[in-house]
Amino acid sequence: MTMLHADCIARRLGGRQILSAATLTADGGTVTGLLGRMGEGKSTLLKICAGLDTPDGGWIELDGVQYIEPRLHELARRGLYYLADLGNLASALTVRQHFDAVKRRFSGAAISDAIASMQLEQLLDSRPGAMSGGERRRCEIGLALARSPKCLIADELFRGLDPLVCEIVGRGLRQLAANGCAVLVSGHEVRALTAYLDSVVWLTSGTTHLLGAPAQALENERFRREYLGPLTPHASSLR
Amino acid sequence: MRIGSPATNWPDRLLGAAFIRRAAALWTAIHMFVLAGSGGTVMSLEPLPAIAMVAMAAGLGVFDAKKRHEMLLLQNMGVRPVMVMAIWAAVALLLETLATLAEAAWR
Repeated sequence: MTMLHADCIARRLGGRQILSAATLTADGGTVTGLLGRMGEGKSTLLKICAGLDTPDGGWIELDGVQYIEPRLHELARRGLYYLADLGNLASALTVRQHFDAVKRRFSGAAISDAIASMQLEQLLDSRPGAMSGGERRRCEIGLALARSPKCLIADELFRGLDPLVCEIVGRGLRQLAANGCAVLVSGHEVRALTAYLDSVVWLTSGTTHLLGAPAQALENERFRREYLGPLTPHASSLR
Repeated sequence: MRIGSPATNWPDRLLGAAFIRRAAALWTAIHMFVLAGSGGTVMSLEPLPAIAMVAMAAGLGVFDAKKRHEMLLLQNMGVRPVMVMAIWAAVALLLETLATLAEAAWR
């Protein structure tokens, strides 16, 4: 079932047309990867989908409700959770206080399962400023698991993470999808990301191309030539 | 299990309390400065500077919440960003009103 759909999104920034007719769909129970070169507008598109930026054209639909100018707090009430590449945790709160806040806000939140799943037991009394990037990411995904959103949008999810943390975070994504959540992630870590994706969307020249499953995407000649580069091994050897 | 969506715009109690504390601290700092500048005779502000101070508190509240990465967390919990402004402005307005009343009673 389609949980999030962005249609014909256009956005002009600094005199440059970043997005012209971008379309993006995230289905419940799947993990969709948004890939593309730097500066192509991935973060802009995700921010528009999350209601943090207003498109010049196009519309968003979340869980059957259409929005022309969505706002994150409205979308969050309908079940969206957005993770920016940085700054998702309040610097004044400990990890435990973040989880307590989610628990108070969303009754029924499965806090202990989320903490165990992301291996956060030793970090509960730490503040974000005292944590590494990987620990913060685990905490952010843990909060998303506790929130149990209908749709998760995560920008540059694997950036700067070591392989072990990528695996923990990736497992968290699959767990969210298994609970029926539509997960939408962006990033450049193709090898790490594709292991957890169900489908790949390529953003280039302001528009999107649905490339299908990761294996199909990695075999796509144009995608390989213009994004992955000529030296990238074929799908069979990446797996 | 799908979790229900929040109905209220009030931020979580920890963050709400933090906003009230910080707004009160800003108001106190401004008035300590006014008090020192007037040689200890003026406690409350004239109406126009008081309105400017309330507006400044509201703006600073949003800036401060963004700087501390609290705004995104609040929005993810369904809280309107304008609530942060409203809390800071309300605290400044309340304290200013109390100071005006206290000063009037004193004289």
